[in-house]
Amino acid sequence: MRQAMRNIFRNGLMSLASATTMAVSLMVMAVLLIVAMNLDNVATAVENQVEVRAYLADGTQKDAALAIRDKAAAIPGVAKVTYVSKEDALAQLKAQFGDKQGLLEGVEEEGALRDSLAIQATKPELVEGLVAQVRKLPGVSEVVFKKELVSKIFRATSLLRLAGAALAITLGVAMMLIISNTIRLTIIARGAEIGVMKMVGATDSFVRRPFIVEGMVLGFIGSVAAVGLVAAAYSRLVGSLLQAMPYLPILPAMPLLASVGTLVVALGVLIGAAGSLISIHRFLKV
Amino acid sequence: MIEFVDVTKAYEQGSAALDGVSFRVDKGEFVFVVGPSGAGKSTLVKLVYREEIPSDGHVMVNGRNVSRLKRSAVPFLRRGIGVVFQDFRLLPRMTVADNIAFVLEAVETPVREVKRRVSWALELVGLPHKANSFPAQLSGGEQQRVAVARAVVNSPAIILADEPTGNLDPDTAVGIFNLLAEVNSMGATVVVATHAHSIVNAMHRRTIFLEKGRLVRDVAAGGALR
Repeated sequence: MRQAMRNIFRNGLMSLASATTMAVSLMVMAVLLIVAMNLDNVATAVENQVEVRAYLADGTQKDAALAIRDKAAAIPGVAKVTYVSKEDALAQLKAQFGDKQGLLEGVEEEGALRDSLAIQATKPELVEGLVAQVRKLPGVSEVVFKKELVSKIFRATSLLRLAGAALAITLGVAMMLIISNTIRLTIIARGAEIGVMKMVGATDSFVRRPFIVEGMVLGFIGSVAAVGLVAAAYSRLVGSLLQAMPYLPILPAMPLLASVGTLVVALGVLIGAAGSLISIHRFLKV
Repeated sequence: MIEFVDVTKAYEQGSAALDGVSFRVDKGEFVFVVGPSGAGKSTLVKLVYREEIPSDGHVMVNGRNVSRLKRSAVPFLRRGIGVVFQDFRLLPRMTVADNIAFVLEAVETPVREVKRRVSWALELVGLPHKANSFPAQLSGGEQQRVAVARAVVNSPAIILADEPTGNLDPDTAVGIFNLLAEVNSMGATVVVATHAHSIVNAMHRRTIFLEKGRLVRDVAAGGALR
């Protein structure tokens, strides 16, 4: 530890350069994480809106309907079942159409509306299996859900998550190489020292230790700087955005920043250690 | 203690540096290895502390086949061997005391023990007053004494010296050889590769002659061929 600190100061400019590079890359990483988590939030919200509607046979009494509702609620994977009577449905329509009530004329009389159950799944991927089971319930005449919409949303969100992960991994590898390059320079500068250590019987792990600590400290400094800057920027952004558009599905600064911050600092330290390990590996083959 | 059995060492390009060399050095012996430059003296020394591995034959140190050692076991072999080089190999940015302490720290010796041993080693080589000097402030002979102190500070059973006086004037060289002989009298097995013939002749010790990688003569301390 003592030796690592001494080295960081001795190679001041070099250390500053690598900590800065780390900070910049980790900032990109942090922004990426925040964007990804926000998109995930939106995606989850959209996914949760996928609703299955089970229409009941004509003439089903309210008691019978409620019994069917309870049966539907017992199906595994069902989060919530709401009974929607004809009257409720009409009221909802009226509310949606607002001042264009004229369009609704006759809907009520012609019996276009039916009693139904609105069913939400605990997980969107359970929807299809759930639909099959609801269909079998006695008293259910028809089950409707937006199959295509469900699968489209699915494809979009999983693609998004995949792309985010790929980008994060690429960045991580790039940072590891940057760190290993910087540390390699300090190792070359200390080649004689390492040679003497090896000659007198220092173990590999003893030789390695100060360099790994050095990498971890650089990673820590870089990541804390990155998190600080990104956190400050994000809280400001969120504050002003929510003031202008309160319904924007954007995640509040906390606890998002705490988890992203912890993750980025952990990554920084880890990448710093890994980078050192890579560059010293070559020098130990004496 | 050290045994070479039919050892051949060929580097990637060029001819063999050592060619079918066999000899044995017993515990507590003092042995010179002499020969013109390029005869294979340095290679011989490097094979003992496993800086190099023989191409053929085997090198035994303390009853163990050095080329069969696992990578992780090499540091522990080296802790039993002190090495002195022609170019001293002191670290210029450390004081004399730190240079010696450094090797003890590298093998994780307790701090109190380090202090005690460093002053013992400096005493042995006659340089206690130079503890806080830097290598560049010392003469060549003094620097080599520090290197000897570093080699013995761990009390290794074997001391190897590769041309220890190659950069020193003859008078200073005699001092270094006497120092190595003193270390030997304290129980260490000492092997010295050198081409300082006049001193070798004056010291009447066992001498192994190398020429073009072959062992041509092995003369015991009394002058008899072995």
